[in-house]
Amino acid sequence: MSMQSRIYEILRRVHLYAGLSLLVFVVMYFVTGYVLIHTDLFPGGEPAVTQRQETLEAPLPAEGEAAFSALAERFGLRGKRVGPREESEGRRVFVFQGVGRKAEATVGADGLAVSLREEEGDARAGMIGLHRLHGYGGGWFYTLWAVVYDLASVAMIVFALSGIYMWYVLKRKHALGWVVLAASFGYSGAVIGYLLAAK
Amino acid sequence: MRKWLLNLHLYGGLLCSSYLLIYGFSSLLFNHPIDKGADGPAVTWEQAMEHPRVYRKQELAERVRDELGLFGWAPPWDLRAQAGGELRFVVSRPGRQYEIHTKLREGKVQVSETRTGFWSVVRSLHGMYATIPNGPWLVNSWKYYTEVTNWIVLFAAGTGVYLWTARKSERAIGGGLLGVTAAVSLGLILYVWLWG
Repeated sequence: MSMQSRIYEILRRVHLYAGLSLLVFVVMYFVTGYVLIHTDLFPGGEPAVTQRQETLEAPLPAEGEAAFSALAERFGLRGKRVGPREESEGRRVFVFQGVGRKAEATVGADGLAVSLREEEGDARAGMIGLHRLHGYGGGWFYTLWAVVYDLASVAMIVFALSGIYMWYVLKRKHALGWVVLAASFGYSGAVIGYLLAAK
Repeated sequence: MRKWLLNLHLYGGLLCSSYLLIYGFSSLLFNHPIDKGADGPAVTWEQAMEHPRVYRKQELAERVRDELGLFGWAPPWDLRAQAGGELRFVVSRPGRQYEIHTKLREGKVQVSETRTGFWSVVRSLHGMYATIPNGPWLVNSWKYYTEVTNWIVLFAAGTGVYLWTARKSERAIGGGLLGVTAAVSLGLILYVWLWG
């Protein structure tokens, strides 16, 4: 087997198995992305918002993760943990960012008074939430999601580059492929170049 | 049939290959932000301008933007009234951000222009479907490339699975891999959506 054939076979398997492994995630991203950009076809509504004031039985722990866990257990809050954010007068804001929902707990300086604001979106909000969920941290599950997100991102690059190589090896006549590639990279390059250079 | 589908998968893939690279790198940037801020120092310049004779703040900002020959959005949340009916507002688009101070009583407008850099442009092009006000057709046609790429990728996912099944020697291992990863992926998605 020649070197070219060997490389082709390796890249074909990488292309295939990366595609099979990440099929569900890739399809999820392109379906939810379609919903995101097509507000005309998939109009969403405003999220349902509830606000309430609560008082804790004991002051919230100072340490961030312990505080998050205490709030989650006390009020049944779920989602990626973001923060806490320090605000004026010693208040701390803990955000639980879910998919299509969000809860924000603002805890007073005394660690007892809690102002809760919860938003619950519709199915469109949920799909957009899935699409936009990224970043490490906020819970082990969200870290796992971020790892798969990274794999899907790298897969896009792998699909493109391995696909170009396989086309070149597979096809004896390259004219049509070169025209298509030139259209793709030429257009993208022109748009990027214009945005960088234009006033 | 198989040959047709292979060609469609192949040439469709070539057509959206540059966009796939943009998707891949921009997604990595979302997950691993490298906030370099501005790409170089801001450049300040002035342009003579008569008052456009519109007085609603948003309308005035957009007219000034148009008179300056700029393209981009002028978000209302970045618009501040200044003394004497003047305005301070921002015009932004992929690749540039302009902070504009009107001095129309003096017959001029002052612009502070910042380049946001290559990676910022790549990030902005990720799924960009919006029409940029005053944008040229070259840039505003990106939405069609976004639409076409979306459909090609979904089609390629389906044809890719079909083309895989044509190779008997890889059906078992591929089937096992697909089964396991699909179950894990669906479980992850459902867990995050319903319980996360």
